[in-house]
Amino acid sequence: MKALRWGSAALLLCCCCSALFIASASEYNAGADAETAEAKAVSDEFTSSPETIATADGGASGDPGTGSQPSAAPGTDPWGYELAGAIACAIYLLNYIVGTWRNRQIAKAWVRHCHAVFAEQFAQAGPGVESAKEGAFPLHADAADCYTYYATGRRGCESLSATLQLAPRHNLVQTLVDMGFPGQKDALTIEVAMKPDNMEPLVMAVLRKEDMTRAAGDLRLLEFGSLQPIKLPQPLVCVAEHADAASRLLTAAAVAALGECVDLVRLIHITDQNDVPVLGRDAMPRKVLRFILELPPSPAANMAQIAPLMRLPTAFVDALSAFKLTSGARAKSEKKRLDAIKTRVTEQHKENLRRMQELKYKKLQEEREAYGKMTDAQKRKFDEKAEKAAKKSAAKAGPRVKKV
Amino acid sequence: MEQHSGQAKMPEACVPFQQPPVDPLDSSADFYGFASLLLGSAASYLGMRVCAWPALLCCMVSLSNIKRSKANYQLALGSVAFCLISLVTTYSGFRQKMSRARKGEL
Repeated sequence: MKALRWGSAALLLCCCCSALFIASASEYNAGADAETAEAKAVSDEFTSSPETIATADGGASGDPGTGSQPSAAPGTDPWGYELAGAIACAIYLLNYIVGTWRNRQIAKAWVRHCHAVFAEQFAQAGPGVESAKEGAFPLHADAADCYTYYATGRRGCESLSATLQLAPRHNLVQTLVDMGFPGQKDALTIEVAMKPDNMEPLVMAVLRKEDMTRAAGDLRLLEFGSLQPIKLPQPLVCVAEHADAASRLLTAAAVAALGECVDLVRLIHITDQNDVPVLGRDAMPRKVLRFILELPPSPAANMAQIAPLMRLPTAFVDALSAFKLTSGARAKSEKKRLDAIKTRVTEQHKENLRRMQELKYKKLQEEREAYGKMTDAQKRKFDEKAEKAAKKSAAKAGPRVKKV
Repeated sequence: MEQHSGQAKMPEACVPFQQPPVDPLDSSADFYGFASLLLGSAASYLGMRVCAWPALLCCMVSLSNIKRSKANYQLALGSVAFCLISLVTTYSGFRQKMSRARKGEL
């Protein structure tokens, strides 16, 4: 597969180079022909009539107003750019068709291995689009590299949506860039919008150890939770608000499933503090389960590897519905959330104040600079105006005297 | 992983799919569309046919990257139309005629 990829890349590069070569060669020929025509015109100048000279001049130099327009000299090949452009467009189109087909194969493989798991758990499962037809392909192609899936009608949750964000194989430019600097990998994001009453206040995450620092900042994990001593396959770690919840969710079967696909798990995030839009939901649900997974290498052939992880979202929904906090723990969680809100409001207020002060200082500096550049007359006028404005504001601020 | 699939399905709890609102400020920048516009402008106003074809290519890249849920079809159509017009005007001899007209030949 890798050899095929490199082969196709080499072929594309060869085509691009040949197109450029053709373009430059024809330009060179055109230039040479133009020079020949000019030389001929100069030699004919001594032998021909004035009419002939005028014709030869027009043919060799072309129209001066046309800039890089093709010259009309006979025998030239002025179609170099056109040939190169047409070849580049044709290669791009060819790659688009092949890349789209390859991404479609990956989507089909995902449907083959994972659709049945969700179809047996949800009353409706199909393409993630508003107007889905009966019996349509279960994935909606949002773009050539993005497929969406939506399932609803299950106890404990409102909906489940899956987004297959594949590598941009259809985009020749991006494909060539990715060969030098590996970029976006094939990824699958599963989001479950929980029913508000079916989940206790909880923040929990299973992630790679190296992602811990970044995720702690982005997802505010350590604001609510702490690292839990649960034995997970390396390099995964668990951060949870309640140790009890973590042990209830990460059962032996769940840990075994994670162990089978440990390389593919990027993040499992369970939160009641969600602030990211969820596919399929107009209003932003606060209680959300989010699974971010990588697809295996050569996904179309190895999609079966990811199948064990597809049972985790629904298992977690059931476990979360059954999990109940004690009144003391719930009060503690709610206090934490209130404190977090207070801290955030205070930080926001401080930030706003700082920004205001910066703006004021900037304005003052600008005014001072402008005042420094003024002439004496302008300065006097400015001072008078400022004094008037100060008096007016003082009069407004002072006590009102009732006129009798 | 205990699951009772028989009891799990609840058709009465189905929630229809709703498209999340698209924030126009949040959409990622379309660099290829912008490049297509610049190159198309150069091709049509400066008569640089070397820019007309890259403009078409950039327009194709921009179109192929569009997501249906976030697509702005008016903008895309405008971009394609501008690109094609720039390609046509570069080759239609419009500029030659204009320059001759300016000189008073026509």
